[in-house]
Order: sequence, then structure tokens, then C-alpha cells
Amino acid sequence: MNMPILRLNKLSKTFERRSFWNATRPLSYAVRDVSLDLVKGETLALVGESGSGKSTLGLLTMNLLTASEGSVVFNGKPLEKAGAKDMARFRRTVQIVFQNPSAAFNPRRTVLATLAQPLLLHGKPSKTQLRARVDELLETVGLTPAAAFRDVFPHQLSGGQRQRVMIARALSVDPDFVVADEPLSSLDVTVQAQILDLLIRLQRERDIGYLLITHDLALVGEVADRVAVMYRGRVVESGPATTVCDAPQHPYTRLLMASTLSADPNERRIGAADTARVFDVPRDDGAGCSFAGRCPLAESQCKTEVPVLGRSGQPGTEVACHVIQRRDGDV
Amino acid sequence: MSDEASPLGARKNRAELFSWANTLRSGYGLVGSITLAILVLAALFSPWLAPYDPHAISSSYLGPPSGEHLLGTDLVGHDLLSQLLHGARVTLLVAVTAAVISFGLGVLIGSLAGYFRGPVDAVLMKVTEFFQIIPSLVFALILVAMLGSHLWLVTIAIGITIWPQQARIVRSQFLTLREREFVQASRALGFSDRHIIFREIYPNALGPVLVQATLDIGIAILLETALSFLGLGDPNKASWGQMLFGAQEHLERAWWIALWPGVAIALTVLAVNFVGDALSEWFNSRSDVGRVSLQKRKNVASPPAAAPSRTGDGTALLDVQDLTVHLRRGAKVVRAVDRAEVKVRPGERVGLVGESGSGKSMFSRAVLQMLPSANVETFTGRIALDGIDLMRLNEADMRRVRFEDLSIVFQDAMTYLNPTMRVGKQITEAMAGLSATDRQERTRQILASVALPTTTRFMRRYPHELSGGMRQRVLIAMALASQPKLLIADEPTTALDVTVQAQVLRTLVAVHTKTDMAMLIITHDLAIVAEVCDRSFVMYGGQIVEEAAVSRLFSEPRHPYTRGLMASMPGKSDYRLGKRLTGSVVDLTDVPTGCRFAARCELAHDRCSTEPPWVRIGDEGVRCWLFADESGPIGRSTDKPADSKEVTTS
Ligand SMILES: Nc1ncnc2c1ncn2[C@@H]1O[C@H](COP(=O)(O)OP(=O)(O)OP(=O)(O)O)[C@@H](O)[C@H]1O
Ligand code: SF4
Ligand code: SF4
Ligand SMILES: [Mg+2]
Repeated sequence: MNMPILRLNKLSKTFERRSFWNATRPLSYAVRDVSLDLVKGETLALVGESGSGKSTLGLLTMNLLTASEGSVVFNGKPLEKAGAKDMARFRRTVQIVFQNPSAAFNPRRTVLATLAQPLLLHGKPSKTQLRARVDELLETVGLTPAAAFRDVFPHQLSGGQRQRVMIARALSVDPDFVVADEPLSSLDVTVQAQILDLLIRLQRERDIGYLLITHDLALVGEVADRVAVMYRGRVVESGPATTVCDAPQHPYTRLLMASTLSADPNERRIGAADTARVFDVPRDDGAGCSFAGRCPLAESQCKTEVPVLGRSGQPGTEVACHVIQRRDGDV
Repeated sequence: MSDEASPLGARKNRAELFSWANTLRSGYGLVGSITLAILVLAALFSPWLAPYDPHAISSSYLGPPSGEHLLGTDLVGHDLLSQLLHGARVTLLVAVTAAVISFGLGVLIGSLAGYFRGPVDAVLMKVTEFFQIIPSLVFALILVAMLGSHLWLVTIAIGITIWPQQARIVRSQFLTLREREFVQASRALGFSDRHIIFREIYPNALGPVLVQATLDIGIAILLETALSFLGLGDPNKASWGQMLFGAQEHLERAWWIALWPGVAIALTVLAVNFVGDALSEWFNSRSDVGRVSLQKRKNVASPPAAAPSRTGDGTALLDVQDLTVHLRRGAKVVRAVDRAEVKVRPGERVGLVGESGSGKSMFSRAVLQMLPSANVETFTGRIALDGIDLMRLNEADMRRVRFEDLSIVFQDAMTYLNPTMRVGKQITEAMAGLSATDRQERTRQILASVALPTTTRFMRRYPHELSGGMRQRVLIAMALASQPKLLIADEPTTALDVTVQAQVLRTLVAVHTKTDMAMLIITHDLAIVAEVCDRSFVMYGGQIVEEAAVSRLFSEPRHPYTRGLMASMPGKSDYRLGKRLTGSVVDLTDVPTGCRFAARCELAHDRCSTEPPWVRIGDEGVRCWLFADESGPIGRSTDKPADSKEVTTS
């Protein structure tokens, strides 16, 4: 296996909210004690429900948010100790593609200006070099002929085209790793498939690694090498994508898989199960397993002791669940 | 939502210019601008316009308006018209300068607070609050008393008094804009703070800041007036305020001395506010958040007078025939829906699937008679709900239909929930004719049916305190509250988590089996159709291109577009091998005369340059030349245009 480009080392992030009297108090953990290795050429899918901390983890990875605890290790050095030169290198190595291509551009800048900016920031190209490089980027992401796209404003493009420009912007600094936060979910289905093909092609050609943040489990089965499932800020299961998708262990992962639509009217999953359980999302007081309030397997231990990631019965996968760990330990 | 569904998001700069001109033209903006322009010109050219030197003393003092002195004279014998014109100079100069000072201070302090946040923000905002709490007049009084009453000192005092509002606006712009993804993206690319502030944030914060600066001019005029009136103005500069001050003692003998400056001040302040409002309206209209206003039906092809009010074939609950919706976008016409034919039978679960920009949302909004204001070019066809022709209802009756028989669940819950109303109340409000306690009870039942907590604590929450999935379920709960006959769900689960999506769909299915409510589910996701629907329509480029029972649609899609859609579904076995559709949806402002799918169709051939007919195959149908072959097109003469003739094969 390749050396990881980035190591996320026990990252935690709390958000604080100023109260009426200005005293700050911790609101909650958005990300808690997450360790992951991000590898060149490999796709790590990060799945979980909204609010589980996926985007926050993406931003932490990008150093667009500062971790409350733990660190992002780049080049063997934690980022908070990195100097200006290391930071500049980090910015060239790791890039991000956002979910919503219509919000991700300065509406007052043409495609050319948008793509030229990072090139100017990280180098001193001449005017003709700049234009050639922008054209090359546009062609790489399938916006051909480049001349037709250079001088338009983002809002004049379709969603798919905008997403391509965003990918081009990420590619402009020739990164080794791209954090893609729901890169497809705002796009048309036929365009999703095209953008996905583009991401896969770029990975093959440039050996780019992806942190693919997604809620689409069908997609995970198609493209990811590894998958990490997040729940309430923690990774609760991780392992090879095929193993996790075919034989989910953690009760939450199983719920996820059971919620995936079947894409086949003869094998409906909705309506087969009894109606949704009614629950007020329980307060997570930090004690015990945060899934306990929804978990069909919950036991008394689950309410008092936080399960930590440990080996499960499936090869290469880790699970944070008392019951599964005990079961597999007994086997 | 599809492109057409956000008609307020102006697309072209030209269009923006037009809308600016429109705002101005639309009444008060125009009045305000013209008044201001006249005032400014009058102030600029006052030496030439004024009939007298303002300091010249005429023989008549305290003279009423007359031929010689149009507005009369004051105690000393100054010509009031001349004084007024020269006073405009002073007043406007003070006001504009003070507004500029306030602008500078506000932008500086707001930016610092918004950019650095944390302790800097806390301290600066405390200072700002302090300035805001003390009444500005009192504060200006103190300042003038301390500094003296030279004109420029008064101006500075006013500027220092009024900046806090500007600072707050700038700060809040910073706080929202810096979370916007394009700003984050710049940070991700490693841009400096300076770059981000000046190139990314300021240009986008311009709108509200300019509006406030405009309003500040009005505030400054009033403050200057008040100061002068209290005797704290510059006695050597005859501003309008000074004129008022001078008029105080003679109010009873010579009302006109006070009247003119009073009128001038009121007019100017009003005009400034008009312009400010128009500006702010314009800036708001350019952002894509806005409420959908109800639109009266236009260009309705009125059916023959004898047509019965209960129409349609008796078995259909919703019977849409020949529905055409064209919208204006700038100079172009968006052919959002063209001759769509859709039937939903009672209790049926029907899908309408298509990509964004295929006209799905416009279809549903047409059914609801809620097309975007002012942009409707053509709106024809027949829409019957339970035999009632919705096209012919007046707005009040239509509102009742929407309230009782027809509900819709939109995708973007946050824009459709009232942010300032507790969720429980929002659901209760959607119910008709129950006692207060029954409503409470029913609200609890509905909340339970959509898998939301039924606690009072939950009902007292506001929309922003809920997660996306919860909001969506509140919206469904609101739609269910009136026990409608037809529920239209427009992308009801897009942007929801899989587990929540499964719950919401399960909720819809459960609600459906318990009532005889029919559902029309509009989605881009074939998997949802596969899970929930009995029958489905496929829409492309504003047209229905296929209609089929869901099981057949998946086992044997007919239209090449439907096949392409199937190949784009991850999870289907042929996903990796599947032939991708190239390109993106056809531009509805520029549809080809032939098959609208031709540019993306692998099977396109020469016939496809003319519009393919709707080929009916038993209960199903497809709009594609490939299927016209089997029995050859049999033109069925109907009242439809020739190019949409139907073909039937068996
Ligand atoms: N700026 C912020 N201030 C306070 N709380 C925040 C902030 N950003 C995120 N959170 C909270 O942190 C938690 C994790 O949020 P995050 O956006 O990372 O979730 P996510 O998994 O990306 O969700 P989604 O799928 O909806 O994008 C949530 O509880 C959220 O409310
Ligand atoms: S630890 Fe307990 S509550 Fe948590 S997932 Fe495992 S069984 Fe369920
Ligand atoms: S009519 Fe022609 S172009 Fe259109 S879908 Fe059929 S084969 Fe393709
Ligand atoms: Mg997110």
C-alpha cells in the first residue's frame, strides 16, 4: 500500500456557541476522535447521516477548520507545526470540491478569471501560458472547446458544467488528494454519471486520492476502495468497501444498508419493513454508545460505556460496537 | 429545483439591468430618483436658479408669497426661495458627507468584527451596541456641544452618530459570506485575507451596504435639522434646519417661513427612502431567495361556453390534458411544459421522473396554479381535479382547493416553512374546522405518522432548530393536515439522508395505504419511482416521453432517454458498463423542431428531425419514432396541433 498522504490523528472538533451572557460553553462534538489514513490513488468513502460530521471532517482535513483536539499530519508533520512553506505545499497537494457548484464561485468572475487565480497565486505564468493552462484544464474536465467556456460567468453554465469548472479549479494546482464533499448530489442523474466517470478517469490518470463524502451508498459500492461510516461524529465502522457493503456489521451500518433503495420495483424495501420508529433524537450526553437510542441490539453496557473501534469478524474491518465485538471475540 | 423554477434568479447581466430599470419604473423608486435628481440639480445650480442673492435684503420682511417673492420673505427680508435653494446645497452637503463618514466607519468596524470574529468582534460589537443604545440626537447634541457648531464639526458629529447600523450590516454580511462555499474555496486555494476581503466579500456585500448608505443620507438630514432646530447648527450656514430654527419665533405670524424648509426636508427624506427601498428591492430580486407569488392564469384558451364545469374522464382524479406552460426569461421563451398529458387515478401512486430542467416543477406548479409571477407567456390546456376544471377557478376558489383537496410538499423545506412560527402552529394552521383541542390531538397524530416527536417541546420549536429531515417531515405533516385527495410531492426527499429518506418514503407509503389519497411523486431519482410508484411518466425537455407501469418501465424501458436514465443509476447491474448519456438536458429556450432528445440519442435517424408522435401502446405510451414503425403512424384527428398527432398500436 502507498504511504498515506495525510493522516488524521485523533481529530475532534467542538463548536461553541456564545450564550446570552457571552460565556462560551461547548455545544457539542461535531467530530470526535477520528483517525484515518488518506492514501494516494485510493478512494475512501465517508458515509453517514447529515449532521454526523462528514463535512466538518472534510473541512478539518483541508485545514479550513482548526481541530479542537488531534491533528492532521502532512509529510510526517502535524499541520499546526507547519511553516509557511509547508502550508503552501499542503495547499497545492490537497484540494476540495464542494457539493453545490452554484455557491462555490464568486459570481462576479468569469471562468477564465476563476481558474487563473490559483495559477497566479502559485506561480508566475505569462499571459499566454496562463491562457493555455486554463484551456488545458477546461479540456481535461471535458469542457470543450475551451474557448466557449473561458469567458462566461458561472451562473451561465449548467450545474454539471459548473461542477466541471470546480473540479478544474481543484486540479489547477495539480493536487495529489481531493476532498470531494457530495460532489454529485446537486447534479442531474445522467450528469452525475458523467462527473463520476470524470473523477474516476482523473484518478486513473493522475493517481489522485479521494475522500468521497457521500450519502449515496449505491455509489460507495461502485467506486470506493475503503469506506468509513460516521455516526454522531465518530467512525463506527470502517473497512474495504465491498466487505462493508455486502456484510455490514455495526447496527447503524445495517440500518443504512437497509435504507438504500433497491432500484428494482420487484424487490422493494420500503413498505416491506414496518413503519418508521418514532423517536426524538436523544440528547447525546457523551456517556455510552450514541446509537443506543435507536439500536435494536442495545444492552445496559451500551448506555454507560462508549464503544471504541476494534477488530470485527470481517477481515480488514473495524467496528465500534460492544455487542458485535463480543460476538466476534467469542467466535 | 429546476432552472425554470427559480425565475427570480436573473440569469444575465442585461436582464439585471432591465430589472433595475423596472424597479425604478415601478412607481416609488422612480418618484424618489426624480425628486432627488431635481434636488441635487437645484442645489448645484442654486446660484443661477435663485432669483436673488440669498443674503440680499428686500424691502418687504415677513412678506407672504407674492409675485415678487414666490415663497415670501423672512424677518430680515431675505427671499425664501433663494434661501431654500442655497440651503439645499448646505443640507445635502452635510447629509452626504455624514453618510460617507458613517459608511467609512461602519465598513471599517463591521469588517474588522466580521473578519476577525472572536474577542475582536465581541469588543467592537459592544462598542457598536453602546453607540446604538444612546439616542442619536442626545449623542449628537453632546458631541456638538463639545466640538462646537461649525458646519463641518456638526457633519462629523452626525457621521459618528449614525455609523453603528452600517457596521452591523457589514459584519453580518461578512459572517454569512465567509461561510459561503466560494469564499471557503478561495481559502482552500490559499488566498490571503486581503484578497478574500476585497475580492470575494466586498463585491458581494455591496447591495445592503449601499442601501444603508442611502438611508443614512435621510437620517443625517433629519439629525441636522433637529440639531439646528435646537439651536446647535452652524448659524453662518443657512441650511434648511437653520431656516426652520429661524422660523420658530414667527410661526404664528408667518407660517410660510417654516413651511418651505419643512416641506423640502420631508420631501428629500422621503425621496431618499424611496430610492433606498427600490435599491434594496432590486438587490433582493437578484438573489434567488424569494417567495413564489400567485399568478393569475393568462392566455387561457377558454373552452366553449357550453363546456360543463365537471370535465374529464370520470375515472381520473387528476386529469391534465394538453398542458402547455411557456415562460419568459429575459428576451427568450422557456418552453417549460409542452402539451403534457397526465392522469392520476384515485388512490394511485404515480411518478413523474425527469432531470432538472425537464419541466417537472413547472408542471406541478401549473397544477397548483402557482406559476411564477409576471413571467408567464402561455398557459393553456386543461387541468381537472376530481372533475373540477382548475383553470377556470377564480383565485379564492383555487385557494380553497389548495387548502382542502390538493397539497404539495416541496423539496426545499426551509424556504417553505415560516422561519418565525413554531412548527406545531404551522401544522395546526393548515387544518380546517376543528376545535383547538382536536387540532392539538390531530397535530400529534400527524406528527407521529411522519415519525416526528409528538412532545410539546418539539411543537414549540422553530424550523431552524430542526434538522433537514425533520423540516421535510414537518412540511409533509402540513400537507397531510388537510387530508387532501391528491398529494403532489416535488422531490420530497432530495437532500435527505438515506435513513431519513427511507423513513419519509415509508411515511408517504404508510399514509397512502391508510387513506385513499392519491400521490404524484415528482423526482429525478428512478430508485424512488421503483420503490413507491405504480405507474410513471418520464419527462424530457418539457414533454412527456414515456408512460408505463413501473414494473414494465424497469424491465423494458422503451424510450432511449429512459434507457439512458436507467444506465445512470448506480446499483443497477449495468451501471459500470452502461452507456452514459452524453451532454445535458436540452435548453428549453432553444428546442429543436424535431425530437427534443435527438442531440443525445444514439438511435437518432432521419425521421427524428420532425417531431415524433405520441405512440399509444395499450395503457402505456412513448414519444419516439422507433415505435411508430410497428403499425405505421395512424393519425388520429383530434383538436391537437398537427405535429402532435397520436399513433396507436396494439
Ligand atoms: N459552524 C457551526 N457552528 C455550530 N455547529 C456546527 C457548525 N457546523 C456544523 N455544526 C454542527 O456540527 C455537526 C456536524 O455537521 P456537519 O456539517 O459536519 O455534518 P454532515 O455530516 O456534513 O451533514 P450533511 O450530510 O447534512 O452535509 C452538526 O451537529 C452541525 O449542526
Ligand atoms: S454498542 Fe450497543 S447500542 Fe451501540 S451499536 Fe452496539 S449494540 Fe447498539
Ligand atoms: S425520436 Fe429519434 S431521436 Fe428521438 S428518441 Fe426516438 S430515436 Fe431518438
Ligand atoms: Mg455536508
